[in-house]
Amino acid sequence: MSNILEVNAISKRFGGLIALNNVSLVIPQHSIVGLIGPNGAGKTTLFNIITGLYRPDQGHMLLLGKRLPVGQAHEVARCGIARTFQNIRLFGHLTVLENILVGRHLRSTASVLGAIFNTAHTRQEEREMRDKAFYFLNYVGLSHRAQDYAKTLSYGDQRRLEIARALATEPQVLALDEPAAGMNSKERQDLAQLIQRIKEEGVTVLVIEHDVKWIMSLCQQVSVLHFGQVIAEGDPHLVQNNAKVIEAYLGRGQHHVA
Amino acid sequence: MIFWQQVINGLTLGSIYALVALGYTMVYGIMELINFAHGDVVMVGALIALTLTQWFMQQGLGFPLSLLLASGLSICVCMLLGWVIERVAYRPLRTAPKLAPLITAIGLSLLLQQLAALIWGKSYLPFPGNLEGSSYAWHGIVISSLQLSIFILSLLLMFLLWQLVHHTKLGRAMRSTAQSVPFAQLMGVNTNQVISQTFIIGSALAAVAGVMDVMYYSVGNYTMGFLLGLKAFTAAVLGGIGNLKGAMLGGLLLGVLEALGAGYIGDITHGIMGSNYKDVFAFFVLILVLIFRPNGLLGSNNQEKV
Amino acid sequence: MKKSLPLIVLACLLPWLVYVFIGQSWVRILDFSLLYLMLSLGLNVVVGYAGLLDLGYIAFFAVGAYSYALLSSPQFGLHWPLLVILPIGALCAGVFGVLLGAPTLRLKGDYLAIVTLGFGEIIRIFLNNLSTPINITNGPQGISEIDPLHVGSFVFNHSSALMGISVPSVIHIYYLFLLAVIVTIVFSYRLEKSRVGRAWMAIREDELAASCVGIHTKRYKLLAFGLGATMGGLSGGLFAGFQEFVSPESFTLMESVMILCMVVLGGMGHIPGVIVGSLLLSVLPELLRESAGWQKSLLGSVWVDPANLRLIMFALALVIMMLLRPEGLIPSSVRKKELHHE
Repeated sequence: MSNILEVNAISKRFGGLIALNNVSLVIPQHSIVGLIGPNGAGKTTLFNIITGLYRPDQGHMLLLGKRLPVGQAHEVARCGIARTFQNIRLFGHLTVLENILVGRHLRSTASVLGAIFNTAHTRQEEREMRDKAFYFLNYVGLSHRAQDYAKTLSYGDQRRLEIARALATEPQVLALDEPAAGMNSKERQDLAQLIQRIKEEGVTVLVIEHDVKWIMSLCQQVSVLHFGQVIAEGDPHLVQNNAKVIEAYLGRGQHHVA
Repeated sequence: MIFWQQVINGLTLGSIYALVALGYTMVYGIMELINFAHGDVVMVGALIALTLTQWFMQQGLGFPLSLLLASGLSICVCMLLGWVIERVAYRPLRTAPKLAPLITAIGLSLLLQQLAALIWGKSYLPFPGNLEGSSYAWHGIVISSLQLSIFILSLLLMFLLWQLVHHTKLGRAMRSTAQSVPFAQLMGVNTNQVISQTFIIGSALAAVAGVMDVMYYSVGNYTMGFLLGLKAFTAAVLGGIGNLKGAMLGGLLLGVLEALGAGYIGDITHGIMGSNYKDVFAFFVLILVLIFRPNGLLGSNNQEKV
Repeated sequence: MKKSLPLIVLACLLPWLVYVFIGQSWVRILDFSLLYLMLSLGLNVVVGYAGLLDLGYIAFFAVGAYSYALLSSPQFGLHWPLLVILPIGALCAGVFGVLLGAPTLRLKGDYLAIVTLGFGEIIRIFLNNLSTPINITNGPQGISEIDPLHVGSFVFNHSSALMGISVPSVIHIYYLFLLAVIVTIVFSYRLEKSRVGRAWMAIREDELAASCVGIHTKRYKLLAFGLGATMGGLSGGLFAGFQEFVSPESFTLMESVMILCMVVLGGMGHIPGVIVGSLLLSVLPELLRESAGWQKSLLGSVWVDPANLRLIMFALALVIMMLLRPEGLIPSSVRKKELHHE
């Protein structure tokens, strides 16, 4: 299996705080990779660097062997990395359908002139976009809410809409920042199934999660961040029993992860 | 020689800016709101003092006493005005989208101006009394006693404000409210009261600045608050909005920059532009600061949390 | 679109009704309302769609008006045709929009408001002072004897006779402006429902999330500034030709605030709201302007200067509106739905 994303020696500092210290990761293609670690370990910071929201102080990233632009979120999205946010960030005053249509931005071309003169091409594209948008809404089971305001959705539906919006960009890598946060076990199960399905469609998924059990059953590979450094990575079961990981999660003196 | 003379003039003007800027910065620090009406509170303070000084003098009181009484009353009225503004126009909108309080602020600013136009008319009113006073000359640089009093009084007020914010219970409450309103409430701070008090203190300083301004230029008008307010806001941004030291520094700096600009622009542009462009300076400074140092000279750099 | 047909018919008949029953001066007020409506629609692109609070919008109106004035008056002895200058004015304003927008892209909300306000004032100060050493703008006196709006030999500013009926100039102007307004509305509506409009609204809702789905946020913000300014410039040109006179006095902060209020009052980002807002705010204050008469008959003398009263009512309306109905008089249907849900 070849690697889709390589993170090479990334460091990031906020004032005196070292958020990430020489972090390297390798994400194999067509896999689900988990990123775990205690609070404040630097998981979200790493996500923000990969998706171009922050600029790393050092290091670089490769997507399919090509240098990924740094610090330019829209360029990263264009390269094929889409993401969701820990604290859901939908376009609240747009409808559910419009949220997905915004997600189709990169997959459409209509310009200002095309829009104001309503050219044949624009109309054609708009029709196709709508069809495609409904495909993604169906995919996450939200097509019945298409005309509702995004902010009126329930918490779980908002999470799914955010995933659908990211999928609508047709990414190669989907980065999910704590997608299961605040969900009950039934919802977590459904989410795991959805993520499996996404992976089977050929999208590589990178997931941040606190729930170790959930992520161990979902992922083929897990990386553990602790104080801005990768302390373990590889097969979930091996990582689970890694002494450093146990120490990081439970402190000294404990020997087994429950 | 012109240089130092302009620096002196600039410092005088700048200390007035600084007093007004403190009002902007305190409110912004606590509520993240640009109190657009603040400049007009300055105007109200100035015009009340102007009218009352005149009235007291007509009653036969001497100028210094009249001025003192009038200023005191004007400060009280402005404090009340500041309290009412916050209570009526901002408090109900505290959780509303940002645009709403900004628009009520613009509305209030307009309302104060128009009410003032109704009360005082639209013409320029002269400040009563002889303000010439004595002046001190030193190597060709002239400092009037008015300039000196404005400068010293401003410094004194700034010092008092600093003491208030850093060494009293109210100051502690203000600082914790500025950090986080819900957190301050958890710690038992009555944040509504603190916000009210912030407006009252800011308005008192605005009134003093208004009196200084109207005396310095010796005329007052219902529109005088607009440009002054805008410049003071620029000063607050220049120093780093939300930062008290920043507002003081920004005010003085902007005053000096403006005075030097007005003094030298003719020479620099070979007479193409004259001092009638001096009001453009504040705006250019504002724009440059926001482009190159958006957090101001003393502001900290904070990135948006994701 | 079909539903708006009766409205268009009404809009076409309106000036005649007003002309016959109320008087010519009110047709002139309608002309101005249409100009304000165009400006509001332009500002709506910037504030309503892209969420960029612009308090110096009138500057672009000024650029358009002065472009027209300079290219079509004795000031430089130029008398270019309308169909050349209007686009030039709009283009100049658009360029200014992009130039002013570029340095402010990183700013948010209140800061942007203040900086755009500053830009607006800078432009006005320059208009006031660019009379020396070379006389470009003629300073505070402004530029007069501007060529009227005309196409070929037809002059909109002169009355004409059509099949024996004399058509006053204000009605010509009305139809010209109405045409411009309808075109602007159609374009705005199409933009709103397009990929571009959605990108703007996404930026307005959450700039960071918008950039993460691949929207080049800086480019789209500039586009909004530029397009909004272009629309402002176009109305500025029409204004100069209509008035045959421009001076810096017409382009104060007050005007920027007025237009912002028109956009906000009806319901930002929603075209019917913008239309209602701008018509209300441009017609109602005119009624107050005539309040001197009833003040005299009611109170015996003029107590409050009507111009003053007009602005006081205006300011009060702003404050009360925000306190009671911040979503605007005519919020979009989705927004109404939201209010039902909660």
